[in-house]
Amino acid sequence: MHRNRIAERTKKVSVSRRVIQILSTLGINSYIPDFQKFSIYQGPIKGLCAPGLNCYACPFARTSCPIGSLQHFIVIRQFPRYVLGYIGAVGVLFGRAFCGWLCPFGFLQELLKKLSKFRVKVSKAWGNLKYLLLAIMIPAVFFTYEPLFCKLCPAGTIEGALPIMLSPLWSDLSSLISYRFVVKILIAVLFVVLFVVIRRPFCRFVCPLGAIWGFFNKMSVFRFSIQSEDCIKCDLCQEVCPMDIRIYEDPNHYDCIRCLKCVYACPKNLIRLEALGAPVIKPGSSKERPRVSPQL
Amino acid sequence: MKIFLKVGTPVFLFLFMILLMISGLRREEHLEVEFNGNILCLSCIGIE
Repeated sequence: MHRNRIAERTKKVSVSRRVIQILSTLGINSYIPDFQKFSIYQGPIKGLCAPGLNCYACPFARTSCPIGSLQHFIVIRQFPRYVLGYIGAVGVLFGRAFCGWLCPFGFLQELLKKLSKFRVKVSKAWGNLKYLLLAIMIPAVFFTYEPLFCKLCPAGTIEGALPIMLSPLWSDLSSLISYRFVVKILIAVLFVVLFVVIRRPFCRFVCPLGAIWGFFNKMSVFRFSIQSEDCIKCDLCQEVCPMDIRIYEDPNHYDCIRCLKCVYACPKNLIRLEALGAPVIKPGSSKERPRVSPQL
Repeated sequence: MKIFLKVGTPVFLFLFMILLMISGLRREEHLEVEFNGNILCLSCIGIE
């Protein structure tokens, strides 16, 4: 019963977010390749970073992956000013909001999670894995001259390898596959299974881009604030959260993707979105949304 | 002072990041370097 009430309250923001995610995914992957060659898009905007993890090996991709580009610049020994500036500017303005609203790989994870109601709870400690991976990745790429994260990333397999495997180009390429291709396929299959049973596992435990943007959550222009003294700790915020966060414990948690579902799910209307301290979304101020008591 | 820090820090950081981004776009010419040929991308999808 209370599930329906939460769904009703968060419906507007959920639909808006879904529409934006679809538009973002289609916009980033709007290139129609030559289906005989299936060669990737190499036009002028390919050097611009995507607003999320979207492999530039994808034949439909018009933009590049920020993490792929970052590694590329480390490999060629150039300071990645554009990539760092882009990641930093987005982070300072929105924190991790791009993960929640624009990232195609995050969108894919949310779609696959809808296939099953079954939900596996994972220890919060696993969230530290992405920082460890980020700390290992940068020196490892520097010393090996290889974009190592890309070589294992499931986004590359799903968005890049899969469409190419289905193309006529694959008959020429299949003779070139090595053990690494098999490893990539196995990693991608493992993640697809995890996507069905765990909420956004790649974003929470692995994504280096999310790890970097997460650092900005506490200092970004757009932030959450909570009147925590009135919080009844009903955990409805956690129930609707795609990242499984208790927002009342830390309103600007490193993993918060600013999806705004908790803002609308909170029965006491205690969570609000602020820009430089001024309220932007203040629930309960609308006549359409009277305060309600939780029925748990 | 507190308000100045609260507002000024993100604004300053944002402007710094934008300048960093623009300077990278101009000088690094990574459009040419990054995507000249498919080799890197094929490598990233798991093909040697």
